Amino acid sequence: MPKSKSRPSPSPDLQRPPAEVLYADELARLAQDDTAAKPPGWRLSLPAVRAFILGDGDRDISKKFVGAPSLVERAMVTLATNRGLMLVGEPGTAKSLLSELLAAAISGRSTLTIQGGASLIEDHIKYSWNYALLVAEGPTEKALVPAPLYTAMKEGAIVRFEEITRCPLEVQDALLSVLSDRQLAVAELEQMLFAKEGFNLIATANTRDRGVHEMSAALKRRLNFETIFPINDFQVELNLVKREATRLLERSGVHTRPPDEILEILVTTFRDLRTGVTTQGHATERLSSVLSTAEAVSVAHLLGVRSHYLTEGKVSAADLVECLAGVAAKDDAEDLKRLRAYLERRVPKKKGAHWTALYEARHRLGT
Amino acid sequence: MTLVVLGVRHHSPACAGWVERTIDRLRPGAVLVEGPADFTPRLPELLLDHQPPVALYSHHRQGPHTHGSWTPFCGYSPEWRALRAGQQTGAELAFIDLPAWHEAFADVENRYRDRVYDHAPRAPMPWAERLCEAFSADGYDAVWDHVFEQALDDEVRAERHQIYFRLLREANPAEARDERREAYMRAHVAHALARHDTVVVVCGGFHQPALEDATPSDTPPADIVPEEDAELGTYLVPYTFHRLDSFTGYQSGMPSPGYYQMVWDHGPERAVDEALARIVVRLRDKNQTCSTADLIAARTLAGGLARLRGHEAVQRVDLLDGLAASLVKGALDMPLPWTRRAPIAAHTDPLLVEILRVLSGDDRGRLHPDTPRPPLLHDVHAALRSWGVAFSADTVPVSLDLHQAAHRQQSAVLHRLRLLDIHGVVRAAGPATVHDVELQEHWNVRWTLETEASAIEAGAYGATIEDAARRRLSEMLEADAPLDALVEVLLMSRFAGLADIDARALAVLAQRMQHAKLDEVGPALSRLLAVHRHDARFGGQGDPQVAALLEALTDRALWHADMLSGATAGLTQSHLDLALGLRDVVRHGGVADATGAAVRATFRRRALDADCPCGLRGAAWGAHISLVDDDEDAPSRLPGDRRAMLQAAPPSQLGDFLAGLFCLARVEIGVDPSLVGAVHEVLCQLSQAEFLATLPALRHSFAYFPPREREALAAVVAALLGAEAPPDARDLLRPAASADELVEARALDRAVAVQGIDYGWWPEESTP
Ligand SMILES: Nc1ncnc2c1ncn2[C@@H]1O[C@H](COP(=O)(O)OP(=O)(O)O)[C@@H](O)[C@H]1O
Ligand SMILES: [Mg+2]
Repeated sequence: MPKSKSRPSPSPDLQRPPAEVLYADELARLAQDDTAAKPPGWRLSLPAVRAFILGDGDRDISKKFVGAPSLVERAMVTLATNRGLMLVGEPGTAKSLLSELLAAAISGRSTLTIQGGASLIEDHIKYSWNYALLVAEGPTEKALVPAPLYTAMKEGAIVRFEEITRCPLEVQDALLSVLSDRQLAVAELEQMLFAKEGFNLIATANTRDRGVHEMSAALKRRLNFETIFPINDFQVELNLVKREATRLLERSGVHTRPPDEILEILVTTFRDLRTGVTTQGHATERLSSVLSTAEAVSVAHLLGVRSHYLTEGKVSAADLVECLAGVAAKDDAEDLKRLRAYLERRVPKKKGAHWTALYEARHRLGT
Repeated sequence: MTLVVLGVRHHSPACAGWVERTIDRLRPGAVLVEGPADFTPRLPELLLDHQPPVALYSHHRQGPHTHGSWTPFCGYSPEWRALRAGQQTGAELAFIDLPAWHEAFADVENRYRDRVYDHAPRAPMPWAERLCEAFSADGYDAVWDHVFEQALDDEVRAERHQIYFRLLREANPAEARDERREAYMRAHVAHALARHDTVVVVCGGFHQPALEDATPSDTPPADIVPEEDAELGTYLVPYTFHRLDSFTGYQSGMPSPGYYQMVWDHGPERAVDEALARIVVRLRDKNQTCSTADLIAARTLAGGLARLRGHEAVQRVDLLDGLAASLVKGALDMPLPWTRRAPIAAHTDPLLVEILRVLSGDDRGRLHPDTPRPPLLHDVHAALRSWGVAFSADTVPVSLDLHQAAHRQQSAVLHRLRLLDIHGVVRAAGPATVHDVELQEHWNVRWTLETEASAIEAGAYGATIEDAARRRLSEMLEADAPLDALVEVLLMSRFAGLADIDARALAVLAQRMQHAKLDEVGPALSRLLAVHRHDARFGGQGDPQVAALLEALTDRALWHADMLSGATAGLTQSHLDLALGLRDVVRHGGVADATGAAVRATFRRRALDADCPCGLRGAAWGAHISLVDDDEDAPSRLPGDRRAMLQAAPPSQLGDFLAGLFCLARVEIGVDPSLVGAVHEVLCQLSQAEFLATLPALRHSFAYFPPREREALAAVVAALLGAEAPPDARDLLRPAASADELVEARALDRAVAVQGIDYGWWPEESTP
């Protein structure tokens, strides 16, 4: 894996700068060296976008998304055609991250973003009006307040639609004509807005939300689906958890780190309970709570913070059990039972002092 | 003197073309091919006009040890093309590798398997990962296609092969067994060089470095002779693309033979269109949606991906990726199967499974009529003849009494033939399981038009009926089938005298049991346990393999028994089967003591667990009662007060609870007036609606009692109600109306009462 050397953020006071700011330097270098053909309206060629996302050790470009290269390739090629891209997966599988990276690399901006939700209406997607001006001057371009979709079409950029399945169906359907005809009627102005080259849509949806608002078949037809899976390789996932937890702990001003063995147990437990198969090949009940890599990172962070303030930097298996209980109890009371069964009946089949300690601490789950 | 060593990947069409061109150009004096040298004298058999895929099957038996392996060829195999091209140009042809029986091939099933996958599945292969990263490919097959399966100048190709295979060898050094094979192949090459100006060698690229610096030698290679007592042979069998592809993940070669056949036949561009056309037909056949717009999108995407990836023509992964991106309309449960090297996982999107099947292809090979018949066919005739049955066009009935050892042996042979799908062997009647009391079996044996073809095809599994059936059995047990079907196969294998299944199949099966679903577990436990207990005649009693499977299944059953929740979950047969299976497996000592203790503990816990589905809870209590063991510590027993136990369960679920209880412990409980009294008390507390709701389960629960005990129960109830017991208590069991009519009447009563309250005729508290 290429070593990651992200540059210091140019605006250190932002808690979380968007990717195009955070990686401005990498993007500039990639653009400079880019000799391959670019799809119309794109800032970078496809190989440069791929390098930006998956990293390129030789050019000192950091790896930002961990996953199959072919997935990233399919996503890019989809965006270069006239279909939108739909990223689906469990929460915390880096759907938003990938969509942000794609938008930053392709359009140079990842902030044209619509956040899906039950109360979202068409105005939040397309445009609304400045009512003072509207009353004073009637419908004019000046009175029109563009929303992300409008801006993206006008400027030829990627618009991101987060958690699209949480929106009412009518709102989703507002995208249909935009995606198929690449135009948007502004009835009040008796105008048509034609999408500029480079415009396209990346939507994300959570498989846990399935059924909240099913998507219409018509919209599905206009999108290519990519499912993002949790990281397949244990070591890769462990490394990511270590790296991200370290970053978060540093930011919290904590300088102790949870020991490697505890992190290994944490990641293994997450993987066992996520897949329903233990490393030993025994079946176990999958939890319905989210056990994403992102969640593992936050448990690791929590363990570090707790130990820093409460136990003089020591992290024990008992702490881990309590944190696991917190994760499992979040969504579903059944999960505590599943977790208990796992600790009681699957953990003893694992070898190693830390597993024994975890088994012995199982009573910390409470009853 | 010219020596050209063409290091190939087996089953690579690009390599096949390269080999063919090179031989045509050089017109060498000898073409030497990696393959079993002992078959060289019989090469004319292989060169007959067969329709590939075909394979050489080699078998070897020495003492108790048997081994079989294949050398498969498709029309685009480099080895196949090399032999044919050499024949055309008049070259001397020879296989130059060690014979299949040699110890260098111990454990090898596929001579032409891929080197890279010839490791334990999870062993790290850092060099392969580096290649994948460099070409941003998902795995080795994509890397191979990227670098080699495209039009290349022959010199460029030769150079790339050399670099690639040298890397492969450095990262993956030759083992002792490789060195023995290479020394032997070198000796052949050296001897050929002494006799011919130009020699072309076609071998796996891995061996190329070891062969290319051979120098002429007049000494012929040393004779390799098998041990005196070894039985061995090699013969041609028809093969299928399906089997070629099914090594996937284990001793595998290139995937998707159907697709590469199209590439070989039509070139890569037309192969894509051809494949898409077949995929559409297949998907529409299977009622999967696949619009023209989607197809165009798939084609466009595949083209875009190929360009991005630097492929001159669309390749297999480009096509698959394009199809997945445009046709899948929803979240996948399993990753795209071509991104990893393993058999297709359960829950893979059926659309993708169908697409891969099309690329796998369903070609079946056919042998030229002059090909010598495989030994299996002779074995079939010999076996039947030995007990005086002649295979003929007329049906011969064979009746067997399985109490007799000699008949059991005959039966075993017939069962093996049945396992092998030999046409014309039909079991007309016979016991369903090995522990049936009735052990008469009737077969009809007849030579049909298809008998010979089916025996030749089955010859691909082995040379003798036993070997072939054994291998077929392992294949069936490793298949992704429902558990009850697998258990059925397992049980039937005892009739075939093949009870000792091989270790790998056993492991796969145990693994499958580890993941058994709730409704599969109970019945499977009971069936396995029955064999373990009662099968004295076919050796199942106390069999350690059955015991191992019982352990695995018990572990899974316990897991389900622990996890089921929701007091009002309702009564289902699977809960009762689960409890019965677990109880019996402990009662009859089917599992280790520690497991038994865990089962008992679970029963105790669940019997007291307010969150346990009531049917299961009653069953757990019943199991506990029926397992009570006088030696057990008093504290680990449940309270003996049946009234208290009963009252702890929610009254509205009384029916479920009792059904579970009586299903497990009707015999132990018998007619217990105090329990009947307790039931009566609970019933009196129920509202009319609750009573009606639980009535079906209640009736179910008393159905476990035989009529005589029901009579006794009725008498107890009559006494409780203060009624005078009629002289014949049976009268109580014969109600004036049918049970359904009574239920209907009750419901009508209730409806009237509800209306009465509505109209204010009756006070609220009279709610039924
Ligand atoms: N495959 C991955 N590659 C890189 N980071 C990941 C990956 N999976 C999870 N993460 C981490 O988890 C965080 C949460 O991801 P996010 O994009 O919010 O997930 P989602 O939108 O799928 O819920 C990421 O920012 C990253 O730190
Ligand atoms: Mg998100």
